[in-house]
Amino acid sequence: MIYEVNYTAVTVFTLIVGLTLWLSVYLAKSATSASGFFAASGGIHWFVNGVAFAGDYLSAASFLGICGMIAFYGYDGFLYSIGYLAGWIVALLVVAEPLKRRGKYTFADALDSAFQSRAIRLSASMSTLVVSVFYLIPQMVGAGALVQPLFGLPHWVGVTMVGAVVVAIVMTAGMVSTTYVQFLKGGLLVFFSLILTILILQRGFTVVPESERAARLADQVREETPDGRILINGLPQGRGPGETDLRPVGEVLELPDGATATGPVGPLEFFRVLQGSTIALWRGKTVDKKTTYTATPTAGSEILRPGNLPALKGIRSEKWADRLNFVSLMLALFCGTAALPHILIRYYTVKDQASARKSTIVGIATIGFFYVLTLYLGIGAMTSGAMDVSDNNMAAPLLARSFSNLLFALISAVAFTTVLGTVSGLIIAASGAVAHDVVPIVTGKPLDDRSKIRVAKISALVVGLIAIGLGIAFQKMNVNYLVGWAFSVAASANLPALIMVLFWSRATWQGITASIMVGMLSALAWILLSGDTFRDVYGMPADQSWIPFSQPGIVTIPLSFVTLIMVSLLTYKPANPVRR
Amino acid sequence: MDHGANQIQKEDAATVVRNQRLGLKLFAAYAITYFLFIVCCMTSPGLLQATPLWGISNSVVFGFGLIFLAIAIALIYGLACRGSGGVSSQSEHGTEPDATSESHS
Repeated sequence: MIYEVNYTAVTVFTLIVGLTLWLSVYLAKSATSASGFFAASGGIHWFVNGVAFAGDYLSAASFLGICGMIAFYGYDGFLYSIGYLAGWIVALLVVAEPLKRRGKYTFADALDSAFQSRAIRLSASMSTLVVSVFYLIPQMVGAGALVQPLFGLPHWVGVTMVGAVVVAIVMTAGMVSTTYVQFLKGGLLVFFSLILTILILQRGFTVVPESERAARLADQVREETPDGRILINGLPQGRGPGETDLRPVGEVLELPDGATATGPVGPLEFFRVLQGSTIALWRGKTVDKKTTYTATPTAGSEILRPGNLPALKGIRSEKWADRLNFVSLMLALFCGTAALPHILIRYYTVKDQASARKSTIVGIATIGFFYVLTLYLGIGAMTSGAMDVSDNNMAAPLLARSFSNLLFALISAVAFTTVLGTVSGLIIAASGAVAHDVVPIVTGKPLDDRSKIRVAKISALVVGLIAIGLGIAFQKMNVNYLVGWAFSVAASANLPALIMVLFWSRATWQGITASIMVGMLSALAWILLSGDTFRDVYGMPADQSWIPFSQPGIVTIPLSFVTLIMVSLLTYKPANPVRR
Repeated sequence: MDHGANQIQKEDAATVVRNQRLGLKLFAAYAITYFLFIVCCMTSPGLLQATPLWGISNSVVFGFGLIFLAIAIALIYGLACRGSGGVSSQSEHGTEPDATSESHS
């Protein structure tokens, strides 16, 4: 769809970005030491840290991706919400306090605290970099998707803008400014999502009038010509004479008892009504650069059942291999949260274990409340008549626009800060790994505070540039799906090592190093050879892949555990278990 | 905003072990519930579509249930750990091994 420039949105967006940059400059004096730059000197209040956890975690995937998935595929998107939150239980009950006790700046600190092994540091920092880059891709894709309707600018401009602002935030004041940007963003995101949910419930459901039905449900065709022009239904895409554009979609076809509108509904009635309704779900089929979008009348009861999303349709399959893809995804989501480097480093910004615990509880409450709202937001978008049939990442902002332009401006700006907050956290995790772990190992001497900060700032710039490039390259993928991959790599590479270091006294540095490397490489290889990657990245038929299902977690997480146990048993020496 | 020198409050070993045991029990309870939900999604689609409570499908009830259960478990854990005693202070970041893995050092 073509979006017109929304000047209200531009103004609100500029104000929020200006505020975050001012905050960074204001807090810059707090980041003159390495402790200040990487861990805010452990001086963040637990409540602020808890909301910042939400700001860090509720990324473009959670807001744009999940809402888009629910809006187009129903309940499957909500499965991600469930899995993402469940992972926090692992973080709170298993990882938070021991990690806080053992670490200082990075996740490698905690793994290495009892070993002083360069191999552990190097492998942990490599996995931090890989996971951070994987996680950065969807954030940047989300940023590009947002800037199109805000400014009417191309996708790559949005990606570059986010990259530039985030690098500025991180380079100015490190973890301190990142924390307060995330705190601000976490609070705003939950508040405006609640407002949007209240408006959805107030509006209720309205059936498309019979007179408009044929026009609104007609197929839509988008075609790219050999000379690069875009045709919509055979006409050039545009708003001028002789041009046309894709229609917004999201139609309710039938309501229970033949009603034409419900008026305001309660939070439970919302689902009761949907259950007995029929909704038009749109599916696109692409053949040779020509995509045909077709509306399919779908019962509400079907929408609230898992298995509509192509990646999860295996749930309904008779074959166990297909079902395992779903189990594998849910396992990765469960295990991945507590292994994400940008989440783990947040435990070092509070003063003690009790604060780590309390901030995780605040984080769980905030994130859990938001995830409950995602089901309302997604279904609200699905029935809003405002969605872009060609881009499900835009479902939440366009839902807001169906209420008012001001709300659209606010939601878009909040979504943009969502990206800023998460990308800041990822870049600081990656630059911390480089400055604190990689460079001292490669150069063979520890860096002083000033050098460490300088290296971290240069690393932030480099990682930011890499993120911009990848964000442009992966433009067409659903941001939430990409995050699923990052969770798989994190859960396979980091969690087994973390758990075993904390709970198994026979773990050796060789076992931990092997586990991280095997987990990371096997998960990466699995993803790169999967059917989904063949189809969505290489443009090849998915059935040419040798991998039986696309999500690696169910194979690579146990593989990483087994590797650690086997190698540790082979290298364990009771008399002198701590070796380099 | 205080971003000054770090003040560590270190819980004693007995408190750490007590919290850890409680945490692992609660974790096990949640993990079992979560994986039962996954099994249910795979094997009993009919059960997910049933509407025994308030006319709302079980898929929504179970999904919200898992989210609220996570919040409840987090609160229970927080309250149970609140009464933990034996807090001592030190002036810099601690990197001591856990009570459970002291054999490393």
